[in-house]
Amino acid sequence: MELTTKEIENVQDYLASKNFDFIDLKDEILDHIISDVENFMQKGNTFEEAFARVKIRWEKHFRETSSFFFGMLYSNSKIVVNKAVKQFKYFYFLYLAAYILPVAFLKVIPIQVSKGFANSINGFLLGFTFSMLIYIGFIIFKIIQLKQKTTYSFILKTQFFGTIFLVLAVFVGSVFKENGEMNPVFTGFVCAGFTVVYICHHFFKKHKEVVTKYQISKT
Amino acid sequence: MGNQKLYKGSLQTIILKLLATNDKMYGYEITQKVKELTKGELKITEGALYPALHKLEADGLLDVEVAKVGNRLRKYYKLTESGTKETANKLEEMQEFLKTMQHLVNPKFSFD
Repeated sequence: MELTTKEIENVQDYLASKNFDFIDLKDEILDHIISDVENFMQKGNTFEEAFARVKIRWEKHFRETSSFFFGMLYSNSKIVVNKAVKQFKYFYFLYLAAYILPVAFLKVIPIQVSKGFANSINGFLLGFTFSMLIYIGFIIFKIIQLKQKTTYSFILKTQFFGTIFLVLAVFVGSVFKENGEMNPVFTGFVCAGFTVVYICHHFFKKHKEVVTKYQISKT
Repeated sequence: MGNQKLYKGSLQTIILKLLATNDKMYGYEITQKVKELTKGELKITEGALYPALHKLEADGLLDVEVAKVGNRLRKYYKLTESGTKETANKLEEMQEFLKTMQHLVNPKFSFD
């Protein structure tokens, strides 16, 4: 038993009331809910009865929640956060490792180079880090302007705070101290900052892929 | 029903196995098939299914096909070449796991 256009609109309104407008999930969830409603209707329920039963089942998936991986500040529907965690978990540990490993390594084995070499590397890193800062600024600008939300744009928003590592690396200190010794803390900042850029680049690309696929599917 | 936690770590294997035997499937169909095959013992929740499907897709194990069904879009999943290989690996791992568990909980029982 297929739902009428009006009944489908009711289901769409329900999703809209839950602010569920993530294009990488929306059509699929809509199809799932409609299939479930149709299944209940085949068993003799009216649309209203069937939809009410399905809504009870879905309520917990639309409940606002947050995750340890993104912090308490960032919350969304449980199903979106679950997907985001699955996609992001690996990058979270990469992020931690990018900061902790260089710091721990340099604390155990300090590295010292000549002052001239240190100045050249500092100059190169400053330029590179600054260009990364501009790139991440571009991604932030694009994401702020977004009309279409995806799970990837949600992940991206949770990562922007990490830009602070690049800002510190550009404006506060440098990887090599004046005497040519590597600064463990700032080396960690630079590594973490570059990792944030990589993560943002990765998820920005994923977001664009989803938007393109979505537009193709609608034509 | 009380065993849901025991199945949790096997969700990817279950999805891959179903797609290996059914060519292409959509989300709701997967939940119904699992319910039918396990006689209602295992119910895959929607909140776990879609994140798992999308992770498998992101890992390149599943391919996606979107089709218009009635007046809505439906997303079908099917195994990629690497997905087929991974299914064989996962099933082998699962067999090993089951054997080990059998040895632990019922030492006299043997598959050999």
